[in-house]
Amino acid sequence: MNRAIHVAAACTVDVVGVRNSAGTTVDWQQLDVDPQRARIAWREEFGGDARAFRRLDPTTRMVWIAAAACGLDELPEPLRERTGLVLASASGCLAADLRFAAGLHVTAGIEPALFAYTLPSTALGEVAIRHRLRGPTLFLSVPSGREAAGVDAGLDLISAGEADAALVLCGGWLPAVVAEPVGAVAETRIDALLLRLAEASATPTISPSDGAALLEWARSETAGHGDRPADPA
Amino acid sequence: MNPTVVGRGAVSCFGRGAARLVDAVFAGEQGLRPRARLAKVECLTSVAGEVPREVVDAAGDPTRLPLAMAADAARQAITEWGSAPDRHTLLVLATTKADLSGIAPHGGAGFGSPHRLATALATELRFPGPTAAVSCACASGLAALAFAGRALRAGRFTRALVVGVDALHEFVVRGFSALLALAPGPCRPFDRARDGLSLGEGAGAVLLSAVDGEAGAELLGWGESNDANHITGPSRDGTGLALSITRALRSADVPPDAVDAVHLHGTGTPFNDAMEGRALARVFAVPVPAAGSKAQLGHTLGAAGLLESLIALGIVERTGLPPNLGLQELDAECPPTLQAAATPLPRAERVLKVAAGFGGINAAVLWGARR
Repeated sequence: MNRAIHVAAACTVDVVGVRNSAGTTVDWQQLDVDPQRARIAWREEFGGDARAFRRLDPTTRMVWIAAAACGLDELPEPLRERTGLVLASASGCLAADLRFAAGLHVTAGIEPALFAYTLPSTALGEVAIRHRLRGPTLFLSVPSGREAAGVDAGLDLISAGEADAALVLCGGWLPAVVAEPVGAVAETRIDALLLRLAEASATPTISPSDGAALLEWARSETAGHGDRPADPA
Repeated sequence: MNPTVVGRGAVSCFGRGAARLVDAVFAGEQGLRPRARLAKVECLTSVAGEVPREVVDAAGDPTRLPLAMAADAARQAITEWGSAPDRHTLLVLATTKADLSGIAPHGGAGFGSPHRLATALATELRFPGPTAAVSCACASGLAALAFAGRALRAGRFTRALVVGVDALHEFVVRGFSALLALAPGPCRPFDRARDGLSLGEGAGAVLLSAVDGEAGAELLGWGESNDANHITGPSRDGTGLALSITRALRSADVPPDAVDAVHLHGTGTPFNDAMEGRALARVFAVPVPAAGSKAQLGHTLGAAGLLESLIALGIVERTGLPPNLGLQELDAECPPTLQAAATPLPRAERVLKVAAGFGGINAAVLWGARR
């Protein structure tokens, strides 16, 4: 199936802050949090319901923020039924794994509520609940630097007619303070793209060629308008 | 053309081989036994579907089990096919926790990372093609089949080796125990007195081909959805799983009445089994014959979609359903066609396999008879 797809929004969440293609920029100093230690506070513009946000583990909070920064709150209701979710990450849920494992050998140390977050797909489940998304949900575990595989997967879902939109999240959140003691590689950046099936009357923002090119384009889109390269069409 | 199954492999609590697995399930053998390797783990169950130590040599190290089991199952599938995979063959690994070395008190650097395990598996098999690693909770296996099917239909690969694996580990057993999800004894899916799930382990493999002339049972279609409802519990009304099933039927381009049987997820938890009853009722105007196998295998998590697809293929080939062990009094909320004993079917051309997992993830795959 050959379906025209366009990028409706893009955002980046990293150690500097949150930036999206609509021009919103919030840095962590404004948020008064320390992202290197994965202490992430709730903010109305990204968090939605504060109580729901606070129960999330740090990685899921970052994914949640990225989803909101891509404008999922504005997604038309009928489209939510056919909006897929893809997360491609090297670190996955390692931060939650380490915290849960630490509790195994301490009296009353296990956190039952944390166990669900020791699945890397759970972060996507939280986004699905928050935004009422009922399309396919896919976590791809990738080596560091190969996150564009997630964009390819999102394009495939739409191209195959299995979804009409897909939020693709590339990267993860494993601060050095958590990663280094066990010898893992830190990951502190999530780039997200909201892919949508182009309506017949709409001019596609770009014609996607491959996931890697699209991801690069999205990164430049959120890096600042001054250094944005030409569209990869 | 639809992808066809040209090779199968399994490592389960019943031993090695897909045929051994299907024979044991249809014969009503019980694979849930008193915990052996995990005997010292404090948890709320006395049994597990452990792979016998003599079946897979992991040198007593539980973190080596996933790779050993996955490689064994994969080799069986490749051997049945009878040739060597080339660089146009995709390797897709499905797992929830992969190899937990580096996290749990063992050396190593598995870090529970599916892609690390997939890379190790490719190295072990000297696999020349690209790899992908899928983790979608308890729907991982079916999600991996959908991922592979999508790639084959798009013409990017000629074949795909799909392997699902998970090993029992204290991390997982105590996690489910902490959630109070475990049955004290062998689980009893769909029974009124069901009280939780039993855990199992193993690996399943299916080698799919999109090459003309390579005949086998067919992967007819697949569908996936999210409940968007709750992180650990299924949607009570079954709409999420029903959506997956509807999408799988659309993918296969067949109506609901073309489905001859369903192999259920059937974990044995009160909410899951009732949810499946409601989901099927939403899709099928006439109740469709159904069975589940976790009362014999335990819930093998990332391996479940593959191991239980092998059973679904067994239903196609034997034109009959396996028993539902432990089923004494069928819960009125569960699918009404469930029988305690193995039952013949008038027709088994198309068999649906369904799964649901944490994060609200649902998946359905439709298998078809060899043409």
